[in-house]
Amino acid sequence: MIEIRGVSKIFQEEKAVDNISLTVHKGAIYGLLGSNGAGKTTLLKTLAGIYRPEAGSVKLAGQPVYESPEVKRRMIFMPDSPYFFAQATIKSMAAFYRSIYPGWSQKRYEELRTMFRLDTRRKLSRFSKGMQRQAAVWLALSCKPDVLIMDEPIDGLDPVMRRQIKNLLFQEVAERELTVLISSHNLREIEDLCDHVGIMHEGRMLVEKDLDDLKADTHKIQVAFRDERHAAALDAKLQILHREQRGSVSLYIVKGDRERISQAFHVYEPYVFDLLPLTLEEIFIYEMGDAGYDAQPIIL
Amino acid sequence: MFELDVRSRKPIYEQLTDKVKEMIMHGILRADEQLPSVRTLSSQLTVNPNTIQKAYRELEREGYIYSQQGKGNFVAPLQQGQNESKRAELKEELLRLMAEAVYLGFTESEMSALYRQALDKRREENSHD
Repeated sequence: MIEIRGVSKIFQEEKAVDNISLTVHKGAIYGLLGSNGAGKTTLLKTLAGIYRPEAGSVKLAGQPVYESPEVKRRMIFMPDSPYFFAQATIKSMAAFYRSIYPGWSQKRYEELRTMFRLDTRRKLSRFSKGMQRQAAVWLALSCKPDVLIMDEPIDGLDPVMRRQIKNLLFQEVAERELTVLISSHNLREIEDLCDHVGIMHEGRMLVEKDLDDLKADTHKIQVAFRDERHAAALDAKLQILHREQRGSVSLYIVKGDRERISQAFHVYEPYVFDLLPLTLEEIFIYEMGDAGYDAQPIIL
Repeated sequence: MFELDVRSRKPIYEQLTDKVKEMIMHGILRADEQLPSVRTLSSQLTVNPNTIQKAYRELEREGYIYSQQGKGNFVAPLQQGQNESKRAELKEELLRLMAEAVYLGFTESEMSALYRQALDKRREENSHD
């Protein structure tokens, strides 16, 4: 549904996005993660057709996005801080969206009213941050877009609303194959929400994968060897991202197939061997460390 | 009908497949019984529908369930041999537990008593059917 090919965006000599390619299939929920200043927002704004890329192509269902109103009618971009017109109320914003988006569904708008319980006649500027966020989601879903792009959407929402909105998104995905692209720093939320993730750093894409595959591909291992010399022999056989010694127990982060790794360790008949799947947060930190972005050098 | 542990490190789709297999093996889900739809389960559990779809596909691939176009997913009748992978997995787990039990001084007769206990429990469950 979304196809980004070799896109670069330069702001005065500075490459904010550097040769990025990304594919999001119809009906997928894609999570875009990254370090601060990695270029996530720039990439999302380029995808939304707000920025013109210096190189590469951005397509939605095969059509270029930039300066194409027909394509943009099918998508909604929710910026990191919701934008409403001065003096606007939900009612007046709804009228505006209705005039712009041909897919606007008054029925959906009314259905969602019962869920959000916001005063449609009150000025949006007087709403709290979380309430403004709710209003933005309400308006966006009423437009029945094919693609929803959300920059940091969870910010400021209470746990009940977060769950409600998550459920709403899942419903849209299950019923009419809505495609969602989300950027966030809240890895815990992304983990529950997305099926695909991409991790960005300094304008480039480090990894892009099915979330479950990513988790099945990286493992945390706690091991106690009978003989310390065995540890050195493993380096050649496995792709080790990280190693740490905690007393007689070593902690490894290893990439690769679970069975193969397990066998490689079992050759040495360790006293203790525990293989655990990683959390997304751990994957993020170790991948970043691999790219040279970590808090401290690894001491072997 | 399913409870997931969102704090667990185990991927959600694996938790789902394990749960369904367990329910089939214990006879909680009967042959040809319909499983909840992807949509229903997604909103009940607040889980990504694509993840549920993936779990159902995996279960179908392993022969635990079958799908009917436009109708949904159903429990496949249990076949011998289908449990091969589960058996291998269980064997390993048992061996690990037994090694621990041997270390703690369990005797052979104590262990066979446990086996009989499990057998009785299973018979009792079946008699309620």
